[in-house]
Amino acid sequence: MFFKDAEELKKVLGGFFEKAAADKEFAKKFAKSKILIRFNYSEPEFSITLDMTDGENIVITYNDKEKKPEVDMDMKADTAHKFWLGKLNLTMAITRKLMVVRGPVPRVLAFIPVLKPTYQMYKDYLKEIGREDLIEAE
Amino acid sequence: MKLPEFAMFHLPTRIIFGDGIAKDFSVELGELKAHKPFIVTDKTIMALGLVDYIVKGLAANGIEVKGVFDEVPQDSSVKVVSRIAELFNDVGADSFVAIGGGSVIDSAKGANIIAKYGGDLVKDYSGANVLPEPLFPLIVVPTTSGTGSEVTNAAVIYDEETKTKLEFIDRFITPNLAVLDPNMTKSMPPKITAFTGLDALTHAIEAFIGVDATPFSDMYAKEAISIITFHLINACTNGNNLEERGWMAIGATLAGVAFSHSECGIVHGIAHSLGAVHRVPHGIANAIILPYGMEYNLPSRIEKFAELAKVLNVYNKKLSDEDNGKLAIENIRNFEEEVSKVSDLPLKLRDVGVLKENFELIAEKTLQDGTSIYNPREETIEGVIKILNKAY
Repeated sequence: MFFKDAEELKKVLGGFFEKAAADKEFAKKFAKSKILIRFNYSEPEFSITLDMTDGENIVITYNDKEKKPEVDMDMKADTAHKFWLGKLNLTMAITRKLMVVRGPVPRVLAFIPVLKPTYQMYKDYLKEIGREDLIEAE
Repeated sequence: MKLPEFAMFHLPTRIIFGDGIAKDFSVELGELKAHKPFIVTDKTIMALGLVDYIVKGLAANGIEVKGVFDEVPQDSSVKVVSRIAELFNDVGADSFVAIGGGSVIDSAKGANIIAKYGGDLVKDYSGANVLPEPLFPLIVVPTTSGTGSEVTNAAVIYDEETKTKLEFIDRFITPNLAVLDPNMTKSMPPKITAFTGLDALTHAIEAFIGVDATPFSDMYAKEAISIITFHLINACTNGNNLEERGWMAIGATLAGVAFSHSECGIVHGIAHSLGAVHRVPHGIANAIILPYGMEYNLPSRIEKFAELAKVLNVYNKKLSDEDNGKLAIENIRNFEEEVSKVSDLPLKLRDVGVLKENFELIAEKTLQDGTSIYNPREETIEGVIKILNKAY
C-alpha cells in the first residue's frame, strides 16, 4: 500500500486535486464536462468528490455524503495513484475490474483526453511535497 | 505490427449455428439448467411467426415456455425493462430467451439484471462491471444480422426520466447462448438487410483500425469483413437464400466479437449523434459515414488500412501503404454504392433529414461520445464537421 491511512491519501491525492483546481485555465478545461464525480477509495477508505457542474470550476469535498454524483468510481487507492502517474490504462482497468464505474461510462471515457497533461502535473506535485518515493512506485 | 500494451479475450457465449436450429436448442437449455424460459420479443417478430416457430419446437422437445413479452419498442427503455423483469418473476421463469434485434436483446439483458437483483436499473446498475455475480441464463436468437449484441457484454437502454441512453457494460450480461438460424433473418426486407449488414461491417472495420485492436480482435474482424463484403449484396437481392442469410448471420456475430474487444470509433460516434439529433437509424447513419470516417482515420493507421486492402483483395504491392489504404476505402465506398442500388439504402445525409445547421451540435456530441477515445486519430470539431459536409 502506497498510503498508510486516509490522512496521507488526502494530503497526496486531495492536495493534487486542489492544486489542479487552483489552476484556472486547467480547471476550466477539466470542468467543461460539467460532471459531478466521486472517487471511492479502499485501502485506505476515503472518498474525494469533484463537483464541476458549473462548467468552470472544480469544487473538491472529502467523504461527502450529501452531494449526489452522476458518476461513482470505486478503486483501491493504489490503483488511483498508478492511474494519475499515467501507469494505468483506464480501459484496461475497467475491463479487469480494477475500477468499477457506476453511472454513464461514456461520460468518463470522454474525459480521458483532458487527463493526459495531468500525469506530469501529478509527478511534479509529488516532487513539490517531497514524495518522490511515490513516483517510482510499481 | 505493434505488440499491444494490453490484450484481453473473453467469449463466454456458446454459439450454435444451423438451418432450423432455432426449432430445437433444448439440449443447450438443459445444460444451462434453463427449464422454464421466458421469451422477450417485439410485435413484428410475433406477427412474422418467428416466436411460434421457436415455441413449438421447444414444446416438441419438452420445454414449456413460461411467458412471452412482445412489447419491446424500437428503442429499449428502463420502464419496459422493469416490466419484463416483473413478469419474469411473476411467472417463476428461470431463464431469458431474446428473439429479435438489438433493442429486444438489450431489453432482455437489462431485465435480467433487475429480475436477479431487484432495485433501480438506473441508480444501481448503470456503468461498467457493477454486477457481483452471474445472472439468469440468457439465450439470444437474433432476427437481424447486424448488432452483434448476441455476443457482447454491453446493453444500451433509454432512460425516459433523463432522456439519455444509458450504457451497461458487464461480462455477466453477455448471453450464455447465441442461436444463429438463417430462417430467422430471411424475412428481412432488402433495405433492413442492407443497413444491418453495413452496421456489422462498420463494427468490424472500426474494431480492426481502433486503438484497442489486438491480434485476437483482428482475427474476428478480418473474417467478418471478408464474409460481409462477399455475401451482403446477395442477401439483399435474394433474401430467401438461406446460404447467404447464414453467412451474414455468422459475419455479424464475428464482427460483434471483434468490436466487443476493441470497440468502435468516430463512425459510431457520429452515428450516435445523428441518432440523438435527427433520429437517423443507427445502421443507416453508420453506412453513410463509414467511408468518410475511414478517410479521416487513414493518416493515423496507414499500416492497418494497407492490411485492410489485403483483406478486401485490392492490395497492389507496387503501391505504397497509404495508396493501398486509399484503395481499401474506395473499395468500401463502391461496395456500399452497390448495396444501395439493390436495397434503396440512402447514402447521403441530405436524404435522411439531417440539417446542415445542426452540424456543430452533432460534432460536439460526437466528441463527448465514449467512442472518441478509441478512435485512432484525435477527433476535433472541425474534423467531424468536414466528415459531415462530405457525407451531406
